[in-house]
Amino acid sequence: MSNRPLTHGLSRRQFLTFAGMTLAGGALSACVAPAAAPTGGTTETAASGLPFADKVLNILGAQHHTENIQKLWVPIFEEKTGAKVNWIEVAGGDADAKYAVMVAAQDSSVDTMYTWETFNAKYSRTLMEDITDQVDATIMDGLAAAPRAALNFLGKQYGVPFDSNMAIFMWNQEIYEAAGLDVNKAPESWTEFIANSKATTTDGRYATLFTMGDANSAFVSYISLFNSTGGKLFSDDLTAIQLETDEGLLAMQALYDAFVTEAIADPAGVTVASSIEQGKIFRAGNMAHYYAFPNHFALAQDPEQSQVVGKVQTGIIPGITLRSGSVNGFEGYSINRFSPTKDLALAWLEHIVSPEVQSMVALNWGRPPALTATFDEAAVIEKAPQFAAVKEQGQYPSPRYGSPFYFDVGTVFVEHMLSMIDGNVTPEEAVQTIQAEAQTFIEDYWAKAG
Amino acid sequence: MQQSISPTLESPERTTFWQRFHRMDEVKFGLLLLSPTTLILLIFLILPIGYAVTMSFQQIELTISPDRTWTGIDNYLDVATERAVRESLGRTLFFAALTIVISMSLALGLALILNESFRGRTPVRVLVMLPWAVAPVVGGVLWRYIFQSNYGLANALLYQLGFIEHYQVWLDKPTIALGIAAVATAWKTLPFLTLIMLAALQSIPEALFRAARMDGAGIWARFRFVTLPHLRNILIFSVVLQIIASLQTFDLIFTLTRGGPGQGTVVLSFLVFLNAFERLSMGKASALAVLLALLIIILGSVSLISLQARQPKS
Repeated sequence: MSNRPLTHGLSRRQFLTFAGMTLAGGALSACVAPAAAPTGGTTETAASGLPFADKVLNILGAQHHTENIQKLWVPIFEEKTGAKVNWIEVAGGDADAKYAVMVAAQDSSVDTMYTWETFNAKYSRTLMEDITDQVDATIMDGLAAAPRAALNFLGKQYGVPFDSNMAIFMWNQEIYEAAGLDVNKAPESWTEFIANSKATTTDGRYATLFTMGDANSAFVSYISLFNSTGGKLFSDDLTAIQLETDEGLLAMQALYDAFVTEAIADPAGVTVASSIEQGKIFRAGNMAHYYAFPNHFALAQDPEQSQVVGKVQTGIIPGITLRSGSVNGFEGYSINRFSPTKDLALAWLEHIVSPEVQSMVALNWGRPPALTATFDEAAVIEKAPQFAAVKEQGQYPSPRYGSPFYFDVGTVFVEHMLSMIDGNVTPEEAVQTIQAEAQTFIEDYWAKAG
Repeated sequence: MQQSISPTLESPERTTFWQRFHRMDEVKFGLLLLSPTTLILLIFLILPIGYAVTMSFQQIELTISPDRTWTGIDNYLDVATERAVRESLGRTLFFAALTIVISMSLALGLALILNESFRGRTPVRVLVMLPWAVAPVVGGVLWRYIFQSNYGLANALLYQLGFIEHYQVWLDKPTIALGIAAVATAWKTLPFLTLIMLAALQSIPEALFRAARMDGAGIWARFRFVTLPHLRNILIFSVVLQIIASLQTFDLIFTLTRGGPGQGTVVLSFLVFLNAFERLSMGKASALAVLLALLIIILGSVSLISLQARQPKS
């Protein structure tokens, strides 16, 4: 390259001026406060003497919470406390990445964030504040025991649940009628479930679908059966898996029968990872019955999303050994242990289980509330008949077995359950292999965790 | 009165910044122009890569503690002995090979067709470019719906045409699911490969084809002895690009199969994600990411060298 000085075209002065202006413009725009920054109204609230006037609460909520929590619960909270809420939304699928980064960065930009049983177990040691002695005991006592326990990890409470969302049994009355079954009666045992399933499986349509599309969905499908056997998957201290038991084998055999021996479960289930997709198949009229979350009932009544409007009935899940058993999808909120305003975050946790908000959970959102008293409100009984099944279902086990090694255990489950469905191993062999491999992961974890 | 010896020594002419800038030679000015890009690459590429390499030598288990401890090459040893990694490596290589074969053969065929004159060539060229405009995530969802077992297009079409008696579950077998993922990846990269091959084809002098015809060369002989030698460099370039693209594929797998059935489509890039954001083992995920980067560099270099070595000497 020659070393000639530039002599024409854009002068260097012009170039530098332009570059400088661009940089200055960029720097200036970066300095402008974000539009969502909660700045207004603090003067007014400060004068009102409310407990948290002038304070800002940063809530990390799930995307599917925005419609109800941000729009309905947050304004009441702001009015009650004088605080301003900065709502930060995260998509369900991105939450793990977000939380992982929060742990790594010891991020204090969020005060409270949404949680559920799996997250609770995964992040309790590194991200969530122990609130065992912080939340008012009378408030916690009013909540259903199962959701409360779901956000408790090794004896310590890390979150407050706002719902008691758990799978119930849902069936298509039209398909039942066509098969000559009682349209108002759910099967009461696994044997009856198989009989009804065989009656409603026709050429080109399977009676039901168990999701097996990924580690989480396969594990949940298994656990929903296992929980009705009376079994207990982990030891109390979470150091041992207890799958190689009569109960563990019963549930595995049931799954094998559903997919292979009786062939009543849609084989497409091995590609379905979400209950949302499962619900769509049911709402298209292509499934007789399934284990469904209660909000699926409301969706099934929506003419824009359902072809089975008015044809759906709910009950409790038919059990294998016990009368019933389910798997939970409880959600709640936790406090970020790095938050500088934990007292305000605690006020939020107490707010979400207040009677006022709990009525909204049931009436506006269509989710079963966490506060047991809300089930008995006249408006709730009238507007959400499916909650009767939820209330009854709540009497039976529904743990999801969240643990810090949830992913590894789930991966082992899905691999060997699919191998069993493909006919490569027997249910006994699947149980033995899962027991051995999952135990290795558990021991590895505790070896590192101490 | 004593005069000053020299005005230049006594009071040297002061040059302003602008004057110095204006007299800057081209090398320095070139470096100045490069500096913003270098800075961006440094901040957003070099530093994160360096950080990831550092993390790969640390134990970072975010379910246990945010703290990190130096563990030397332990993560690499873990990764090297883990069954999931070995299986995933096999899948990744199979997936890459399949993607390259499908995309290269289709792209070459399409480029040859589009190089010919025929009625409606322009709309066809536009149509061929369409997949390029589709975001990978959207492409994944699209292919997922095509092969959805209950209401997917593939089943509906094949059933209507009488090729299948029942709707099929397409994504329940790892090999088939991986094959569909390879087709989807090839579909996405096809437009770019076709475009560069078409450009190369159009640069071949027409006189060569005329001369070949006069020498009695048929279609195959013209393709073998005129077209292919001229495409050699672009084919090498395309293969290397495809190796890199297929080994990096993540978004499409994530939306199409989420790694399923079971772990059947968990390729290495997806395994990095699972280790980082499901297992929260950042050290191990970083070690795996470093090894994946090395694999890409090695495979890319080997292909480049071996293909160039076959190039006939002029």
